[in-house]
Amino acid sequence: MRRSGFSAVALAIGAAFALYSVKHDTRLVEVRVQGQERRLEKIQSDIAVLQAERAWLARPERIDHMARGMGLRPISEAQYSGIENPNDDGIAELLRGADPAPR
Amino acid sequence: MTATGHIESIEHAAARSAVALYASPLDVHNGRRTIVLGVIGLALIGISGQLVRLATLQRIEPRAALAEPTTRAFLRPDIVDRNSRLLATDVSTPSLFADPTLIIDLDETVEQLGSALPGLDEADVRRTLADRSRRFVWIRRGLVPVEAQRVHDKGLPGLGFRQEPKRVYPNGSLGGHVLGSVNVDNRGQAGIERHIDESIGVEGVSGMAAARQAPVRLSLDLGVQQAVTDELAAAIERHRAKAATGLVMDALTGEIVASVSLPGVDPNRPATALEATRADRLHAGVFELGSIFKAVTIAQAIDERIVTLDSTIDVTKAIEIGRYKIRDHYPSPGPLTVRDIFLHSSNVGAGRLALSVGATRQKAFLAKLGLTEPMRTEVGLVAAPMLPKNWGEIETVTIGYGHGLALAPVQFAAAAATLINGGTRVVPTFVRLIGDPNPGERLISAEASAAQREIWRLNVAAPQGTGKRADVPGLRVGGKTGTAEIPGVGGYQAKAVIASFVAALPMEAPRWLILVSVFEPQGTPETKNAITAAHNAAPTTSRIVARIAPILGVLPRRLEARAEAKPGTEP
Repeated sequence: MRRSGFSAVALAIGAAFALYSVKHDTRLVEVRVQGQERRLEKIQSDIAVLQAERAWLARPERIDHMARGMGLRPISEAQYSGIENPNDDGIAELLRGADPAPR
Repeated sequence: MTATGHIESIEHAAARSAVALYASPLDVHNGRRTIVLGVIGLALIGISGQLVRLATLQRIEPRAALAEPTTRAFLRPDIVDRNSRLLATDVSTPSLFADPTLIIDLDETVEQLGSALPGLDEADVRRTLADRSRRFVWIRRGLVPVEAQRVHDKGLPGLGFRQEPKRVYPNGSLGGHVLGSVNVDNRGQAGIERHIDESIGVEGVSGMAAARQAPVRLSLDLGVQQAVTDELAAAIERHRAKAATGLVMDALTGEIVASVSLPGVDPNRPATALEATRADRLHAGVFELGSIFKAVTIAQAIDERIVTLDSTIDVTKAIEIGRYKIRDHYPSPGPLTVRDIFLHSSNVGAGRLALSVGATRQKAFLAKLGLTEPMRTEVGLVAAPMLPKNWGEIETVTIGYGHGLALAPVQFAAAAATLINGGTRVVPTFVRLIGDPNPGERLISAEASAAQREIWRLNVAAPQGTGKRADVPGLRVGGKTGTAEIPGVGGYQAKAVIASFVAALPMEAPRWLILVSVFEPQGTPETKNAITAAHNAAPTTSRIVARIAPILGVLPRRLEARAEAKPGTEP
């Protein structure tokens, strides 16, 4: 009777320590998760900034200005050619003027 | 009992006594040990209980101190165009706050803040920080990183930063009127931003939250929007106009792929939207649109089987109603067919057609097309149409050729789309539609719509058409010019006009409707001082069409273009 009593007390104490240990580990994991979440938030924020910067750099007004600076112009009717008739006008002319394909 | 037995008995008694004498201390010892063990056991049980309690108890969240900010910002979904190109997004920016009770030297703090943050209202900040009954006040929100670093480097006590979402619009003023704006708390104030708040909802957050909503996909095409903006800006410069608007709409679904009103607004600087000259004229302004309205008049006359395109109308005499006399600028020497009335843009012809319909039926037809009631789009409430107070004969005639009824251009565009799309209702929308929408309710007959397509195309393709300068070889553009004098003090101003061109392409099966208006264009040597739509709005439309057709997937019909180049081949 006395032995079982001591055993029960020891078991309870052991279980409590084990539980506390698990809780402690859980808290550590939680801290790590919070850290990861903060990193994720930071990365998402950085991605948002990068996306905004990319959109800023790729805004049509800027591309249009740069393209015109390079001598490019909006496509004209003469530059169209149907795939069903590749020898027609545009593509044939382009092919004639193009450099030979590298071998 | 013998003597020996008695002695043994005495020894046993003595022995028992001795045992009894020695047993008593042992019992005391055992009792103390039990008590000590009991206390230790209870203590251990207590500790164990406490451990169990700690282990099972929910973690207590730290409570916000009084000095911490309690204002919430709102995280908004991104806005993208129909091809997923970014139009608006939230980025995390530092906002500067202060706890006035922790400010040690007010003068020093205000001076240092003034040097770190250009444009700061130092008097206002001083007044705010002097109020020590408050524990939290904003100094400036949405700082750029370099400003935040400058303040941080000052090391001033009582100041703190908080990361907040800030709305940014990477494309600047491109699509600014459509996108609208947000306030300092990131709540939508106008345009699509307000629509998001009202219809989709925004998430209140403290700082920046990780979770984001799915982006809102608009029907706008950034490339088309840019092309229209660019060409309208060039038109304003070329014709020294005060403003210009351009709208490109899917004539079947109502999706608006470009909506431009210049001068524009930059949603990154919402204050620009408050300038009257920068109002969105497509939505917030109502205008008499002039002769482009003749398309509606002819559509009704044909839809109600009063005339056909080949019917002839006497346009040689002016229309006289009371003290009013309606005549053409260039009167025709003889009667004109309905087709020619459209091509010559005859006011008398359109007026006579309107009279043949009558005021009551004209009003009912315009109501059916949605031109008499206020309209709403995702961008907001469209300015309500201005109708005549008394809709008599003279009003019927003037409305027949586009005066006397003032409309927001976007509202007219929806009706114009109905005229050429086969006759079904179109509801303008700025949100990308998913799948194939059901065709809208039929408003005019297919025959009346086919007649519209024919005369629209003819007006651009025929040498005598007023819209010939809108043509783009191979793209089969059709449309109608309209030059409306602007009302002023004492009547209409002959030299101040709104020049418009409503166009569609490809005319054999119109998919795209374009409405271009140039406000108060001036005559130039290039236009031989003309200010009519044929000389400004029509060629501007041509330039726009040439640029946006490849983006919209409209390919030229080269063989047809070659055929059209030969005289007499056009219907």
